[in-house]
Amino acid sequence: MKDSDITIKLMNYMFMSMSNTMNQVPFSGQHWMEQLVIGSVQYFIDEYWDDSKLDSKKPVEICRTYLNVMEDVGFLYAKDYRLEESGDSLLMSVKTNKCVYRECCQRTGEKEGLSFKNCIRLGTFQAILRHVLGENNYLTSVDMAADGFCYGKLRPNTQPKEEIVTREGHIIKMAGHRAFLLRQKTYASLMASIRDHAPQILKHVLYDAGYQSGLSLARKARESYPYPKECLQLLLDELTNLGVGKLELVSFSLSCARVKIRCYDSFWADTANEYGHLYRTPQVICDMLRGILAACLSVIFEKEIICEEMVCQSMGADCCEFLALPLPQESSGGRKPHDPRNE
Amino acid sequence: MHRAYFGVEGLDRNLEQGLSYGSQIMVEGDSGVGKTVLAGEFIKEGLRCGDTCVYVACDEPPTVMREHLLSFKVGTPAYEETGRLVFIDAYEEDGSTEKYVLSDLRHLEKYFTLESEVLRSCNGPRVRLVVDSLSTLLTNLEITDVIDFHRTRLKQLKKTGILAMDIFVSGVLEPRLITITSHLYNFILKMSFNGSRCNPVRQMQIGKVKSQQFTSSTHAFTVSPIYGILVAADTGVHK
Amino acid sequence: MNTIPTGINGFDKLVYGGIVRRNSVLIEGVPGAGKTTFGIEFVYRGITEFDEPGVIVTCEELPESLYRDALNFGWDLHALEEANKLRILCTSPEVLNDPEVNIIEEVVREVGAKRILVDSVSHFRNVFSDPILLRRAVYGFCNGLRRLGLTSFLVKERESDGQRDYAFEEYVVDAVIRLENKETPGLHRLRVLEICKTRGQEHIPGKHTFRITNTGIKVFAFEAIAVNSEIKEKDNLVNTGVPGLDDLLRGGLPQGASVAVAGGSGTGKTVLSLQYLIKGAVDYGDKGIFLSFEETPQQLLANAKHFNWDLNTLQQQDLIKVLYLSLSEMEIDETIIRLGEQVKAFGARRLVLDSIYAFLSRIDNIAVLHEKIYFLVSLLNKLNCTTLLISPAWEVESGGKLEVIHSVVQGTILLKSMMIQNRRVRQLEIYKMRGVNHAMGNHLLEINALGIQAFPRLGG
Ligand SMILES: Nc1ncnc2c1ncn2[C@@H]1O[C@H](COP(=O)(O)OP(=O)(O)O)[C@@H](O)[C@H]1O
Ligand SMILES: [Mg+2]
Ligand SMILES: [Zn+2]
Repeated sequence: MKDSDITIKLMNYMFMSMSNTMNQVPFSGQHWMEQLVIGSVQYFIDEYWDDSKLDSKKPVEICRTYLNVMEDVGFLYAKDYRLEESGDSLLMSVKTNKCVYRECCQRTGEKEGLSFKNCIRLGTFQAILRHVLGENNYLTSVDMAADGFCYGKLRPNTQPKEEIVTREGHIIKMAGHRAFLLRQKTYASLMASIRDHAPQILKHVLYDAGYQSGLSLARKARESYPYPKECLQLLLDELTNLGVGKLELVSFSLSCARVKIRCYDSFWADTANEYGHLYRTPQVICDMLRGILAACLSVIFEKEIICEEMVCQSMGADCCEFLALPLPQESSGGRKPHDPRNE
Repeated sequence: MHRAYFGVEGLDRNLEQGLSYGSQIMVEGDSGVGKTVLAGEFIKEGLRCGDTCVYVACDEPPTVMREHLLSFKVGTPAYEETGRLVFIDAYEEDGSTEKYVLSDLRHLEKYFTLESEVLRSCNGPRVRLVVDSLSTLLTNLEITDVIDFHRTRLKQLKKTGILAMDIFVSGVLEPRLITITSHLYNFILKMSFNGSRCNPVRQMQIGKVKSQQFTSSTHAFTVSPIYGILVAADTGVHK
Repeated sequence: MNTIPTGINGFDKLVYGGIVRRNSVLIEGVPGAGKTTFGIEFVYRGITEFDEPGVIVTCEELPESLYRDALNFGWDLHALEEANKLRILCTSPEVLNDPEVNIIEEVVREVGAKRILVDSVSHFRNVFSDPILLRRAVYGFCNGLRRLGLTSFLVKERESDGQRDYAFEEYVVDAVIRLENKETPGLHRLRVLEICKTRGQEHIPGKHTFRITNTGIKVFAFEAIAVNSEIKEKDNLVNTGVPGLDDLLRGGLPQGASVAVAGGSGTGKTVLSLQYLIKGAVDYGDKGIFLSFEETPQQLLANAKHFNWDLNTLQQQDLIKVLYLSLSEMEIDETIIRLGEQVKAFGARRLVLDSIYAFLSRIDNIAVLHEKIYFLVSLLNKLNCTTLLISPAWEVESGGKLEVIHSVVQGTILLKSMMIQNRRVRQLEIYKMRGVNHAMGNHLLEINALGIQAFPRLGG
């Protein structure tokens, strides 16, 4: 309604700039973007919000009231937004050209390569919900649909995202757990060292380490995303954000539990190309990622999935490709080494 | 030029340049010494390197090798589905559910035809072939037929650049036949039990035929359910 | 040389195109041998195909039967008479030999005749009892015809197939054609003709089969085929469609070759041959003909079905043709000639003949057998049709007949069934293949649900 208002334009420019900047922040860009929105909304709340106007503390009511307050100050029309409850989640829809933040969304959305998209409107809901309900965290997702509407979703989240790196004094934490940063070169020398001392364990170490980390990653994601494909997509996004490489879901069959995934610029393939190969002959080397994916898929499909790297970028392919299938049923664990003393 | 290794550290260490595709490996050893485990390592290594692996199961059903590989976390279905791992069932004769079955063990030409057909259908650039064990196929046959078979087959494998591992169970074939046969291979590995009866020690003797000269070294090894074949350091057992 | 084609199907091949104009040809044979039909067709074809009007002189009682018999072949003699192309003269030998009455000259001029049939000159014997007079009369008669510019067919009756009588006519005329209705092994009656002499031209000697069909006479002439039975183009090889066999043959069968596939019953000859045709059609798009004297088409279809070969569809697609002739119906020359025609018309690249036993059982004379098989093989070679001749086992006592076959064909593949270590094993041997450096010795052969397959012996 106040499209021509230069202040709206300026506000969009500011959010665009923030969004662009946060995309360059190595970790947790989306998280910080949310924090920026929440922070600015908080100033508005402090001045215009009155808890006593609330009829109930249901999230949908809180958000509706918030919209009414915004209308009262002449910022928007509350009726442009549809809000409804869906279980624990909140669904919002708005005609895209009615949204005051559309310029920001459309222009950042047009840019390629942005690893996340923020809906400022949902960010403001996150802010008011947190204000009223306390430390309750909501995840947001939005889809600018072809029918001219934006469909947004807010859902409660109990876990911090894996990619959220924070610093408390001299302590760095990832998703609340202590972490430290390692250069690729250091990693390469670590692996070379293992190979020199115990070559036979190298693959096993990498696979098992990957598997264990994949398990905790996947279990957490599974709580927030019960739908297998959605969960996998989230995990792949999160792994991509963590820097393992750009992961892409090629095919997904729920009934066969058969998944094909590609990874562009895998950290491990890149390490081999940069600092030398660990093995005598060119071969697939992303055992750690293989382990991670096997664990993720085993959690998602609730049965043991085995994942093979069929080609690797370190062997000259365009990308690494992983094919995952369930463990055959009849498996009895293989043959036992023969002991001649039993004869 | 691609070079190949067994995928067994202590063994590969002894092959400076590795093996070339088109060479033939003879593995001879006592029953239970670890020939099939070695075959498993060889296949695992091949799959990692992007090779197509063909395993001819003569002494056990192919599924035994499948499960063996699975126990080492090798997802055989993914490789079988993409044609990178192929089994030939030369064990069941009738009633096998495998795609490739050798229905008649009495005629070497039938085996040869089947093997050639399977190898021809492999579309990868490099192929590994393991016959476990070839000695089973050669029992009860005329020595001249066997030698004709060997010559024709090994020549063909060499020509088509197949990296082949033929396994022979000790004591199954006449020593004379083994001697004649062994001259046809580029690389010979003998595996045996040594030490006392209560404390048997596994040993492998690496023999290479290089410009008519045969060099050899002996190594002790163990078979681990996690790491497969573990070869002791070179300072190990010497005869 | 001025020759005229008789127009009789197949006959002109025997005289390299036709008979010398104005020659007189004697057709002799026992009653019912087909002499009159032969003669009428000569005149009829002359009128209808070469625009040469004709005259038929008959000394038989009633000409009605002549018109009726001709009509059975679709020859309407009345119509030709009305069109002034033909005259039929019903007369007696006395009148014919009366120098005062120039009856023939009259009718010849009426229609401008070029051909004449005289049925028959045997009646001259009734007029002249003195052989010298008889001879002079016939001689004069022939000369008269020649002077009129006529090419003449003279019919002469022969009392029996037995010992030949003194036949002066043969010396007087320019050519003699003898028709026979002879008995063959297997109690078959077979119409054959033999050209005993031709003056001033060449002819193909020997006895040639002919048949009186409902459109006239058809002579199954083995014209001379200029062939070298050696391989034409070395690198034109035909895939057998039998896995392993092509390897043994170093690529396949030489195109146009006839190859005997010999073996005892149950050794896989039919399966191999069926596979040769079916794979040829399916994998190489080659048209093929299966000529069977033994199994019926239904049996062959069922046989093919065992191996999931859809012979029916291939027939509908016009890729394979199954021909069946029961042994009792087949005539050798006719079969060969018709087969050649069919191969040509169908465009067959492959042929199977199951089996050559049909020929062996009919021909006792080795030389005749050789001639027939040689002609067959040459014909197929000329037509570039690669052929499998299924043949009885090598070892069968045949009085030298099998040897004849194996000496004529370009190749021999032997199928065997042997006991080896108490097991019955099928084997295949390429015994000979002209121009091919094929593998030697016995090779394992197997028939399974997919068909027949050879496994080359290792070590060569
Ligand atoms: N469907 C089939 N599967 C396996 N063997 C078959 C099949 N059909 C036929 N045979 C074998 O093939 C033989 C028949 O071969 P066939 O070609 O008919 O012999 P012939 O040489 O008499 O023509 C039989 O002896 C039978 O054992
Ligand atoms: Mg038959
Ligand atoms: Zn990789």
